Amino acid sequence: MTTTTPTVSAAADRSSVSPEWLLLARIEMIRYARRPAFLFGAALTLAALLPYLDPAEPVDELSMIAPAALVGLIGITVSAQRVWASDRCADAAGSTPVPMATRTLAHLAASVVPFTIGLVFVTVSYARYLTDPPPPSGYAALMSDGWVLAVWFALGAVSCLGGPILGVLIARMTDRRAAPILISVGLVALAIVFQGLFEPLRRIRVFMPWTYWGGPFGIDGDPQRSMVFTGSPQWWVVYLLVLCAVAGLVALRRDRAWRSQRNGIALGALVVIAVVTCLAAMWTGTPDTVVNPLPGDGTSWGG
Amino acid sequence: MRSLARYSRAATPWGLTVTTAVIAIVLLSIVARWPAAMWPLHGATIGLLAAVSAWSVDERCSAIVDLVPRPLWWRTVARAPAALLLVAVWVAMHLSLRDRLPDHLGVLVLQGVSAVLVGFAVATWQRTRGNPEPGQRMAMLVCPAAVAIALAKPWSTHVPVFPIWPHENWPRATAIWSITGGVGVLVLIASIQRDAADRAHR
Repeated sequence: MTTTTPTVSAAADRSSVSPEWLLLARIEMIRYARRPAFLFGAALTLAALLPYLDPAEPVDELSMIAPAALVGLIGITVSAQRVWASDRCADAAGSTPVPMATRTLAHLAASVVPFTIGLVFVTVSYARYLTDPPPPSGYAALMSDGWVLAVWFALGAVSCLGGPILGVLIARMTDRRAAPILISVGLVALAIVFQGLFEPLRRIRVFMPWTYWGGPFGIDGDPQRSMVFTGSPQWWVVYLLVLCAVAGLVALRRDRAWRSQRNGIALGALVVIAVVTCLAAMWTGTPDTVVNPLPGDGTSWGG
Repeated sequence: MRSLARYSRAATPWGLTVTTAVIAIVLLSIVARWPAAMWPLHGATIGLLAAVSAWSVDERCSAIVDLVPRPLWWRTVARAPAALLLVAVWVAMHLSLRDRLPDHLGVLVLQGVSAVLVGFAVATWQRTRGNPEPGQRMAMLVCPAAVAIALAKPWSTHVPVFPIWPHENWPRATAIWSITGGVGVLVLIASIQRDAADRAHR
C-alpha cells in the first residue's frame, strides 16, 4: 500500500500539467513581449492607428490586415523560436522538474500578449466605426454592426492568437529551423488564393484561418466596386477559436507522458466541432454575394 | 582553389539554398500569372532570399574555423556561390517574366539583389563579432517582417518598399533599395577589413 500510492500519484502528475505553468506562463509572456520581431510588428500595428488622431479620418475597413500580418504572422516564428530556446535550456539543465507539456502550455499562454495587441487594434477601430462609419460605398456599410464586429475580431484579433499558437505547434512537430519561415510564406500564398478574389473559391474560402469577407473586389465596369461575400463570420469566429484549441491540444500531446484517453477524446471532439462550425460558416449567414449599388471610390487594392 | 570548393561544398547549406531557389521560381511564376492579386508574394520572395542568404553564412564549426589561418575574405568568397545562385534565379526569372510584371524591371531586379546582398553582408558582419550562426536568427526576423510588410504595406505612400501600381512612388523605391544595397556593400567591406585588422593584431 505504501509503495503504490506514490506511483499512482506520480502517474497522475505525468498526465496533468504541473502547477508551475502559471509562473512559467508569466515568464514566457514577458519574454515574448521583449522579442524584437514582436516589438517591431506591434509598433507598426499600433502606428497604423495614428491616423485616427485626426477626427476627420474615417475608419479604414480594410486595415485588419495590419495586426494579422505584423503581429499574427510574425508570431509564428517568434513562438517557434521561443519554444526551441526553452527546449535548449531544458536540455542543458538535464532532468528538469517541469515537463514538456507544462512548458508548452506556458508558451501557448504567452500568445495572450500578441492577442492583446490585436484586441486593442480591433477595439479602437470598432470604436471609430461606431462614431465615424466608413463610406457608404464600402462593404461594411452593407452589413450590421454585429457582422462587422465579428469580421474584424476574427481578422484583427483572433489572427494574432492563431499565429503564435501555430508557431508553438510547428516547434513541437519539427526541429527544422526553416519550417516556420517556409510555412509562413506558404500560408500567405494560400491565404491570397483563398481571400475571395477567385469566384469559384469564395464559398469554401472560410476553411482558411484568414480570408476576406468583403472589399473592393470589383465587378465588370467598376473594378473598385465593394461587395460582401457569402457565409457567417460569427460561425467563423467560433471555427477559428476551435482551430486554436485543436492546435494547442495537438502541441500539448506531443509530450507522450501527458497523452491520455481523455484528452484524446477531447481532441477528437474539438476536430468534429471544427468541421461542423466550418461548414456552418460556409453555408449559413449571407447566402449570396452582395454587391454595393454605389460605385467604388478606389480607396484600396492599390487605388 | 580545390580547398575553396571543398569548403564551399561542406559548409554551405546547399539543401536549403536550392530549396529556396525552387520556391522562389514557383512563387515568382505565380506572381507573374496573377500580378495584381499575388503581388505580396513578390515581397515574400524577397524576404525569403534575404533570409536564406544570411543563413548561408552560418558557421556551425566556428570554434574551429575562426582559428584557422583562412581569413574572412576567403571564407566569404567560398560562401558567395549560395547568394549568387539566389541572385541568378531572381534575375533570370524577372528577365523571363518581364512582360507580365510591372514596367519597372530595374527596380524589381534591384530589390532582390539588394535584399540578398544586405542579408549576406549583415550576417558576415555578425560572424566577425564571434556570433557563430547569426543567419538563422536574422532569417527568423527578416522573412516574416518582409512578408508582413508586403501584405500590410504600412505607410506605402511615404515608404514604398514593395510598389506595384503605376501611381506609386517608384523613384523613391529605387532610392530605398539602392541605399539598402549600398549599405550591404559597405557592411561587407567593413567586415572583411575588420577581420583583417583582427588577424594583424594577433
